[in-house]
Amino acid sequence: MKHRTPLLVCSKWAVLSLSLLMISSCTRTQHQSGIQPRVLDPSETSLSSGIGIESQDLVSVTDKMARSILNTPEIANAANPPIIALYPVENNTHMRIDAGIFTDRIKALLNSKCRGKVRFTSRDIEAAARGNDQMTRVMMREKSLKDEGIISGGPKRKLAGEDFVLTGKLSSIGTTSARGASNYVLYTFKLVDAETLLEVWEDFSEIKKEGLDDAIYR
Amino acid sequence: MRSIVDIHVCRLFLFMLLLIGFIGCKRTAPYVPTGDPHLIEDANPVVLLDKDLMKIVAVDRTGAQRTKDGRLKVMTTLRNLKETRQHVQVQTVFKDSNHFSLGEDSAWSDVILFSNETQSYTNTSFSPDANHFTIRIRLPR
Repeated sequence: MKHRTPLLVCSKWAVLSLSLLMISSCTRTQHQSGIQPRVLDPSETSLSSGIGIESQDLVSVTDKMARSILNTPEIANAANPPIIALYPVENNTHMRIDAGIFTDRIKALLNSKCRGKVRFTSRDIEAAARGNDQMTRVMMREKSLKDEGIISGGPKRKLAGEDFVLTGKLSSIGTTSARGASNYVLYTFKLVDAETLLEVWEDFSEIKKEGLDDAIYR
Repeated sequence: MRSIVDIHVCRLFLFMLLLIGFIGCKRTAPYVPTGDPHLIEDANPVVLLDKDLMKIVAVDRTGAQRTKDGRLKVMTTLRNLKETRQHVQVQTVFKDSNHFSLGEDSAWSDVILFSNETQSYTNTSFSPDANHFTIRIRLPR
């Protein structure tokens, strides 16, 4: 007749449990298919990368443009920080993309890194031309409430008018054959003097990619 | 016979406990990070982030100058050491007088070098606070 002491039984179970625990903690779990979600730097090429406009293009193009704008004598030598308004970027490529993301990033870079070297107006000048500038309409209403003394406000000031208008254009040339596809995108941006309509600055960036055109851009 | 088994099991159990205790006591958070006060990036204006680049790219000249409004403009030349087309990426980190990044690192620029070709790379800081810089070169990511 077998006689098992409680200590012996407990010890065996403890050893077994600990061993299992150690083995299981050393085992990595993997998804059945695909990869685990991970965070990428915007300058990195993602696994789903194709030949269209992607985050790394946005980052490199806007960085180049923002630095280039500051080299313009009208900006670099200005006694007071010039005021810039954004005008919608024209997208002449075959890709569906919100082209305004380019000027948005240029504006954000200049506003955050240059500490008052240039200033931007929130007026939507394109909408204003159509009489549909919501921001100006709201602010004018606020201004009139301040003027009437209904709400408090600082000293009376005029709405800031723009000295320059920043706009751009995206154009592309694409080819496709049985061996693959290529895509060339030309990014041009310009700064227009709001008084004279003279283009005081223009710069461009061009990116060509080739590969299998298998990515779907959303 | 049973007593021998008991002794072995008990020894194994004790060994496992000691092992877990040892592993558990080896390090506790927080940890002291490793660090090198004589960083390569502080001492050199141009660094290669991939070892393979040592055989691919040569950096012949590097310089910097101030623009009229006081910003730092950096320049370097990249030469292809191979007979084949090479694709590298270049970035500039602008730093203050204490070698800390100003947070205005440039975007990674793609540079295509054809056989034995030399290309210039320039970049300008956003602010005049930039006193030092590091140009980083890497293989495409």
